[in-house]
Amino acid sequence: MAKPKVAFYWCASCGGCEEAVVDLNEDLLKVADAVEIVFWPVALDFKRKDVAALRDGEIAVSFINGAVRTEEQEEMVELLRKKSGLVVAFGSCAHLGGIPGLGNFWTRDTIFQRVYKEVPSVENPEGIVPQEKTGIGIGELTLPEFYDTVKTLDQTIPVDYYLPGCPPPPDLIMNAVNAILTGKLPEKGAVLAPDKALCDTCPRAERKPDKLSIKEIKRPYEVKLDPEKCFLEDGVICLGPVTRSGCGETCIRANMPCRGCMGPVKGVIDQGAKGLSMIASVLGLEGEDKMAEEDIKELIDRLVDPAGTFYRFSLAASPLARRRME
Amino acid sequence: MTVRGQPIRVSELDTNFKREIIAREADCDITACFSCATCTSGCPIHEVYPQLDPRKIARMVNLGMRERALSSSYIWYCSDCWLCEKRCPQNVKFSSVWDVLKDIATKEGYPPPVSIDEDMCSGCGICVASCPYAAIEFRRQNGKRLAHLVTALCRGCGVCGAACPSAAISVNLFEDQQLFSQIEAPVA
Repeated sequence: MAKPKVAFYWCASCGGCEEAVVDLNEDLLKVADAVEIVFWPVALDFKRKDVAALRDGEIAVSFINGAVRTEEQEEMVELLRKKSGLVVAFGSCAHLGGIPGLGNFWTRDTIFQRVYKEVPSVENPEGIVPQEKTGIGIGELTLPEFYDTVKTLDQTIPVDYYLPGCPPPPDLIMNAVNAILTGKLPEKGAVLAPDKALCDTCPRAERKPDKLSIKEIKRPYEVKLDPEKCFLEDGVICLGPVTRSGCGETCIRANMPCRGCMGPVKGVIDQGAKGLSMIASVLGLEGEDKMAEEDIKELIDRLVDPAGTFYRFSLAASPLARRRME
Repeated sequence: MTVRGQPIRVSELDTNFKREIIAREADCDITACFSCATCTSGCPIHEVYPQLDPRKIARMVNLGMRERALSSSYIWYCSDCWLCEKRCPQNVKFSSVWDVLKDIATKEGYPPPVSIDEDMCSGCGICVASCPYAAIEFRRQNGKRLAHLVTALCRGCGVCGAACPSAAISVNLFEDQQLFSQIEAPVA
């Protein structure tokens, strides 16, 4: 029997998801044995035309990481969708927009202005920014369009499954691959990770106080973090309560709070709003009734960059999606 | 118990019920109500659930249909928007009436429709911390903490449902549709 064909592709991403595939270590050899990789720009020399030459639906599954920021990415994922039986959004950026999705607080013009003109390390006296078309003596050079808005993969093409995480942990990747190879897949649209929030598996859960109350919000560098104590108890924002588990609690074990890369738990649409309401529910609980408006404002103002904190990975997928365009 | 659509039996009525309510809160003089239905016509909950009707609850109280009034989900679905009270031509302080009814209902074993889905609870503790009535406590199961609702203390305020980051707490009285209706009601 012919081996199932598999494709990997990257859009607006950092490359960490590709590393995650390599992190499978010797399991990668088993995967490579069981499937035929027909496209993987970061590792193999197949081109767009090789994908285009395949029959529709010939690829069993395409793992696509990264958010969709440019015309080229949009075109490639549309092509892969056409050629694939299954499409898996691989990693936070494809799943929720991820870090590139934070670009939705800006527009193409403001991003170009900053990146190509204002950044201190840039010298660009002529103020040249990327153009879709540039005339040179012998003809015209083209670049794909850079969109104002970053989209998640499922805002661009229909997606069958989601592998969350920044990057997805190797055990979840292997589970997903095995499920696909054996055809034991859950309902379409499922996130291939546990449904419960991170607190469920948090190694610090034992020591968590029964009644949480944040006296003052602190950033990690302002506290000497006790490696066994709940971060929220110290006033350090941890998104564990609003984030899906399955990551292996790697950040927590490295004594850093959860930043939310696994996305919202099952049944929650807006992870950022849940994070905000979670903190608002426990902030200044003690003595709240004696606080004046100014005291409350002072308490809240200690939160630096709330939008970036709560929507760090999920802005593009949230109902807000982006800052309003002028 | 009187069944919907059946005759009301005078022998089953608790004619003292309205006085019991007024005794608890003096401004609850619901006897002034003559069922004009101005309250119902503005009620955002009635917009979403036509079977829930403040006028009928008021009538039940006045007639002494104790069990029906206390077991009605209306008192928990009420969002305390106070439109009924503001619009009442007889100045019945409905917000106090609903409050007293909630008190009595809780005591007599008609709890608000709140439930916690243990399969989704991660034991994060946000609900335990934020419940103003201390009605949620932790119970241990297989070495893990799970939120547990103490129905006798719950007043159905909905804070836990809004705060739960896992969507594990369902507070039937605060569905999105109701909230949208409440936003629209004062605007209309």
